[in-house]
Amino acid sequence: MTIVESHVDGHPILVSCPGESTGGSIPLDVAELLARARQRGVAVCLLPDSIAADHPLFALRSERIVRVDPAGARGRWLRARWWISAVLARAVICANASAAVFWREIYRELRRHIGDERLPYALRTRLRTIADRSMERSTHATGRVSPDIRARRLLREPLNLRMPASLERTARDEATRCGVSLDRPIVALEFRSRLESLGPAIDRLVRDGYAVVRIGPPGGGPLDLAGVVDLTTTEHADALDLNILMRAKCLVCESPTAQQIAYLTDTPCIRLNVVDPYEAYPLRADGLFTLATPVELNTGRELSVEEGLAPEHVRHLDRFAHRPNRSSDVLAAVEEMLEIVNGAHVDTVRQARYRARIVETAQTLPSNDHRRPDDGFIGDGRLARVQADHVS
Amino acid sequence: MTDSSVMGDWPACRPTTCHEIETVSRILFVMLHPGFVRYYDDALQALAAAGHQIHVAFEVSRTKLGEDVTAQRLASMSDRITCGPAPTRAESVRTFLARSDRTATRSGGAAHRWRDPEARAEAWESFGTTVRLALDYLRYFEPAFEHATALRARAEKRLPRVYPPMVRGVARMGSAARAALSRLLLQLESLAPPNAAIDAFIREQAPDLLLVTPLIELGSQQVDYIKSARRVGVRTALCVASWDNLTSKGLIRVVPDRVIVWNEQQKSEAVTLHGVAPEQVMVTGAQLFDKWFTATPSRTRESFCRRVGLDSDRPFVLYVGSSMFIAPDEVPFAERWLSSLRRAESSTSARLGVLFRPHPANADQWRALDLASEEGVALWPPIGTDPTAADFRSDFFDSLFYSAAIVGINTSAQIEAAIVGRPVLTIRASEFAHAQQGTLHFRHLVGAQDGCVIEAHTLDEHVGQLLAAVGDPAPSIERDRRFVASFIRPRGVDVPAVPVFVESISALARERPPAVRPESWWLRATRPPAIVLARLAHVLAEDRPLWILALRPVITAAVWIAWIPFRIAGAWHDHGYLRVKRLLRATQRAWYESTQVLRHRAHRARKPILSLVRSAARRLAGKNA
Repeated sequence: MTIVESHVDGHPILVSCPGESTGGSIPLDVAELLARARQRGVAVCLLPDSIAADHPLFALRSERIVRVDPAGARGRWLRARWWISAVLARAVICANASAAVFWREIYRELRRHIGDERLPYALRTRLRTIADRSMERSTHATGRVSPDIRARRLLREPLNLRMPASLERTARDEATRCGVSLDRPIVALEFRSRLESLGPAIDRLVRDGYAVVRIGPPGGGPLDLAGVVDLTTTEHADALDLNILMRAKCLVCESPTAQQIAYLTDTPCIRLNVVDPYEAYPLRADGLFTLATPVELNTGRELSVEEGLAPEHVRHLDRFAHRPNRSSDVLAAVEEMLEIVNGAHVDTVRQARYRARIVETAQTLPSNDHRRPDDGFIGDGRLARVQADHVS
Repeated sequence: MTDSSVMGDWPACRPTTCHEIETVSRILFVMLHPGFVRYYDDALQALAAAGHQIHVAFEVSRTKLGEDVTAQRLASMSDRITCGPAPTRAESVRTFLARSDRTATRSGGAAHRWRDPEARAEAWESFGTTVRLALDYLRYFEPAFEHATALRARAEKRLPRVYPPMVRGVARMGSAARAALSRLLLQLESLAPPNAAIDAFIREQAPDLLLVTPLIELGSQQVDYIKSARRVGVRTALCVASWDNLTSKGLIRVVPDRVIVWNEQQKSEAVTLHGVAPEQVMVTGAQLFDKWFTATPSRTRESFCRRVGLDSDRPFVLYVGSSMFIAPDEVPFAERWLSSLRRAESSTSARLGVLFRPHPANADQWRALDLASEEGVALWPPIGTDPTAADFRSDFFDSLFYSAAIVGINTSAQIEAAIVGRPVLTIRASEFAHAQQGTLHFRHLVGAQDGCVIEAHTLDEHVGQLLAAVGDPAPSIERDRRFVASFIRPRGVDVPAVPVFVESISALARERPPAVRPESWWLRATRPPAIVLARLAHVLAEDRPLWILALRPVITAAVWIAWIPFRIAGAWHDHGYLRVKRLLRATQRAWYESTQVLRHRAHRARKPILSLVRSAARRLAGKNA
């Protein structure tokens, strides 16, 4: 994400355009920009991406962060400045990528001649040395084509955003229409596969007096259980989903997008069936996750929790099938989440050990891997106890 | 490339030993790989029994699903059937595609000399494959393939990257432009010179009839067999192996004398999509399914259910997995399907057992399926079961026979289920859109008039249909019957396809051989200058960026310029250096030896000189005294 610092009326301002066109995820881009602005005490200007211009995420406001509207001549100026910086940043990335390709192709071209036995041995040896050097340059250039490492440390603190009153009204009206009672404590649910694995956990939540509201895109069939309102089967405004997330005691989700939106809405979140632990590790102390069990496609062998951190797994996810969590594990994880929500949770030794281990192994990821930790920090969250107990 | 070492070990790869039996005709059947044997094993046996001598030649070896075992088994069926490798190609399609791997960093091997005949043969092979792949890609721009985005993408992926934008650009100009480009490509394809090895192979085999299958693989080189047969004067026929062959692969670029298809639908596809004349198409029925009509279960229902882990008192639904292209990620969908079935508020649904049967070539992903908490659900056969095992097919039949209904995405197993007479169902799902509305052969299954599959657009709708079909299978069975009559046995449900196939082949083999069709003079005249195109195609097949191809002469020149000092240094090291060294050593020795002699002489001369000096001194001293 390209963030440009500019000045409006003599005041510093951070300008960015979170969205697909910048190659990042919208919620995390927005969250990072706001967190940076709060840290530095400056204003922000969000230039909505054309694809997501109407998304209510862009309407969220904070009392501590001044938002500058990107309308009018000033908006055009800020947009132009951001655009030039983004183009320059992209040009640098392109140049590095081109250099990587150039040296790699030179390497391949030299390899052709290295295989030619008509050439003297000494020359072929020399060519091999030059080819190896070309490959090193290519690798080096590839390393410079790095996506921005996410400012994980900045995102660990809540953002305290609120919805504008007009949007809040729309959400309330939609809630009434869809039969969601906003006065009861809510647990938001975003889940598509193996809905029956949620059964015992939902029973528990309902028993504890929570209204479970399923949000997110449609798919996976309707969730027809007592105490559950399934919004995926009814047409409704996006503002309702966001409003429910802001009100929810916690979010039980499966997709990375839902987890990332929860950082914006400051909703404690548990993400289930995680395939890549580095990508999903919760940034906030109220975050929790469970891993899907990796199964080697060739042999059918199940990987342990620690083996799931190995490069053989995370770099070659396509060589593994991932078995979703069983309902007993989901129940245990959701119960642990309730402990976090109620402030009664203490990390176990094994959960801390897993965190230390993932930080350690994340350092070994390639330098251009966006999953690398931010200066040794990967997140304050934790692996669910039910799985962390298997960590040695 | 054919692995002749594997082929050569077959016990049945032997010369004909049945001189005592009169041979009706000799048939040469060229298959891409031994995996195609399963489509024709019964028919080949019947042909052998009818007195034909058959040699089956495989272009490439394959062992992924135990195809080599299947072929060995075929060869052991009859003395009149022999198997072996087809002639080795200078560059197979597989090698062509491997060369275009941009991520490969291996050494290129010794460069060919410009005039090397081997290099020329490779260049022509590259040229032929490129043109054929371009033709195959071009066909997916026809209106019939409007929704076939995945098939189009698959065809595009095979072509080196420089060509697709060009083909796309022309293809989008309209049907006239497409037709013109297609004609041009076909003309270019005919420029490829005859393959001498294939000519010699056909002459050596001296068949009365040449059969090929599948011929329509993307970029298939089997057209060379058709061309060679024409030159030699041998009748040819394409055996269309499966129901999707004419719509999901490449083009029949050189039309053989006959095209043998299953049914009228395929005949229509051959005529409209491949430009085959209707009188050249023979409809025989699906010979590979004959055994399904007469098959009986290999065990009782109780025994079967016990074996797979289901309750024999409860009906069960068989979920048949699809291939990798159709369903690369099928397990999450299967789990959703199971979950929908279990959620249905129906006593039938609660009682239904479920048996998952993975596709043999796409079984690994099913390892993710967790059935530990599921009751009345099983996966069978276990992942990793040898598909060539003797009871694999009978187990499959038992699974179909004892099931109450069959569910799948888009797979041949649904056809087999229709033959067995069970309700067959499918669900249109967004993740399989490329394989359902994106393929033409899927329409054969779900056609309103004569399709066998009941389709649903949502899981809930599907569950309703499934429960209804299990409750009253009669309407579904009637659908199956109509489908089988039209698609599998178009000459009548009671008329087996194998005898029809055998009779058609026998009639073809009996026909007078066609006149030898030598190459036209203009083709031979155009070929020498066209080698430039072939060389270019060979280079472009590497799929490298164009700038590196432009830079290649410079790098090559630099390498060969560097060769000069290295060569001089080498020559100096090998010859000049040694001579000078020897000379130096000789000079050194001469100097040493001469100084040694001088020293010795000086040493020997020192005594008399000294005594002379001493005596002179003494004499001088005596005079003075």
